Amino acid sequence: MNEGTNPQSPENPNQDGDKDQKESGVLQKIQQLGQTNVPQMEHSNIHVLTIIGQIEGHMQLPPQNKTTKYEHIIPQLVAAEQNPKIEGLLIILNTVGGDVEAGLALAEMIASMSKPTVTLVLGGGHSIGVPIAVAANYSFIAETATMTIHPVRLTGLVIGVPQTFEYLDKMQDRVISFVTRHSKIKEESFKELMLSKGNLTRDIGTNVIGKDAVSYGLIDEVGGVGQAIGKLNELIEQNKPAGSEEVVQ
Amino acid sequence: MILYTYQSQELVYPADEEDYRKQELVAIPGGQLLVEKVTGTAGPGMQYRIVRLLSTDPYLYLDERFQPGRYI
Repeated sequence: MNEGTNPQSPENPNQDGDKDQKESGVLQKIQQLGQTNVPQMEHSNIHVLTIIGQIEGHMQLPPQNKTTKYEHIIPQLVAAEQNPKIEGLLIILNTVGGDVEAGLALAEMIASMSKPTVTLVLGGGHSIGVPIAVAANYSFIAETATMTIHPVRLTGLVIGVPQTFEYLDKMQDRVISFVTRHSKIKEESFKELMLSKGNLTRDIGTNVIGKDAVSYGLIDEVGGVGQAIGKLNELIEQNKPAGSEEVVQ
Repeated sequence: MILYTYQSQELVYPADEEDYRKQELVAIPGGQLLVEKVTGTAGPGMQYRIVRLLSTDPYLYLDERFQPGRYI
């Protein structure tokens, strides 16, 4: 940490050399005297949540893994829901999947938000990324992005095989029911994609790319960040109650 | 080397405890910064490097104070 500067304070720019130090001194004086407002960037009415790498569950992955942590995302979602200045949320995914329960928790959180949400799958939205991708009000996928749909599995030692099987089967049903409830894909076709052979190396499942994801009804539209922001703005407009112009007193 | 085992990678090669301790989260207005302790860098007080900014506010990512790789 820099000596003498407080990184917690936004009004305290880091000392980047003499010039910056002088500038920050001036800024501080202006603020202390309260004569003028320090020019600040206006607040964005759209907030962005990136879900990248592995979705981390109860096990903390080694730091070299890029992970999306439950304990980081959930409070951000709560803050976005609660903050009246935030009108919409854009969720950008590039994930390889991860913990089922953590992923479903994120998906449920996104789905239950009252503010407009749009997801954009860039690169990959695999496995448990699929429920997260469909959780929003509207979903986009980049033309080259892919989503791998495959059965839920477990690595490591299994004790109590029938019970574990039953548990996994139920877990898979939770994923399937979430996806079919939040997208236009039919349960049968989703299961077919999940259990089809010959598409993945040493595994069953399907890898759907951009347009295919849209044609299966999993994702709403092929597009990029421009379309996603455009759609979000459109949803924000629709979400505003009629005649909600600010009251001038 | 090819391993044939039911054990997961993390159990076969456990991560160094040190690696976990190197990274810290610092609260900033509007989010959090993931910082990494770096030793032996020039200048007094320069011991942390920003690894990642955790925030939903897109404008914070434009703020040069929070750019990844920057020393604080």
